[in-house]
Amino acid sequence: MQRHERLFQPVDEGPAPTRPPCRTPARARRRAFTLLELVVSLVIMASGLLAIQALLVRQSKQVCRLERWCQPHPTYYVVSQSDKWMRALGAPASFETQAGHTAWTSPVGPPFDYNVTLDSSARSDNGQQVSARVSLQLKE
Amino acid sequence: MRKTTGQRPAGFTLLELLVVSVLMIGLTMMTAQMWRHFSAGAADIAGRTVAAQELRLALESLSDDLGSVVWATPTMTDGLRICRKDPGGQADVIVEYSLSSRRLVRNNLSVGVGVPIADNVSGFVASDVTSSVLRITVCVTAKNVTREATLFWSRT
Repeated sequence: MQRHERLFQPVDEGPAPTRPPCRTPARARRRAFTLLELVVSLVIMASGLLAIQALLVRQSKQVCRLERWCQPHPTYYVVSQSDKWMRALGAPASFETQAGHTAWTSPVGPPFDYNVTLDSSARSDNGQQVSARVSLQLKE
Repeated sequence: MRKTTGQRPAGFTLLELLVVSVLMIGLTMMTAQMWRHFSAGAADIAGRTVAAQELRLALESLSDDLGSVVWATPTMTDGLRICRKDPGGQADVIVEYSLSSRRLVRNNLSVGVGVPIADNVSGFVASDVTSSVLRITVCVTAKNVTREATLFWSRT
């Protein structure tokens, strides 16, 4: 009954009651993500992860190429320089994967002098290769 | 979210909280799984890179010294002592390789200067196989990745 009495109370002619601030639709929309925003963020995140994955794959390939020479537990046969001048220059030793290699030795040069004789020579058909047979004789 | 009526403050219902919690837990687990996958791969690559790099540094230094070697012999502490020609110099130089605090150190005994050659070296052993063959083993361990190389050098 009291409710009805309130409903039928005479309307006050005074100033209109202040209306609560009305939320605009745009402001109300900011309270949550839209599906479009979610999709865009997922696409950005997925492309970032794909970029990281691509970098990891590329780096992994490069590391595989880098460590190809040291896998698995390799054995090297160290061949020191035997030439006088190579040793004087401090040239590094060569690492061979099979035993039996001998060091490279200069056939000519100090401290010995040689007589060089051209025994034969041949030119290939296309003229791009020339092979020669040379004899070296140590000078007395 | 529930619409507010009158002065009642806005809030989430229990169902909304449950759904969001389940979604957040699932998303967190997915993210953690992906991060673990990525970080494990990155750590493995980093370890392999460091191991290969340090092993290469050690072998290149040994190659430099063994290129113009006069004689080489193992020391009492599994190290290696090398007498080599000094490039540009007249006298021979004696260098010694030894392992110190997971570092392979090259000591130039003629000058008295020690230089670390490689880090993360877990093993360096030089030993005589025969009277004329010397074996050098270098082992590098970085982030659970181990790489090892064995060198044979003949005195003849």
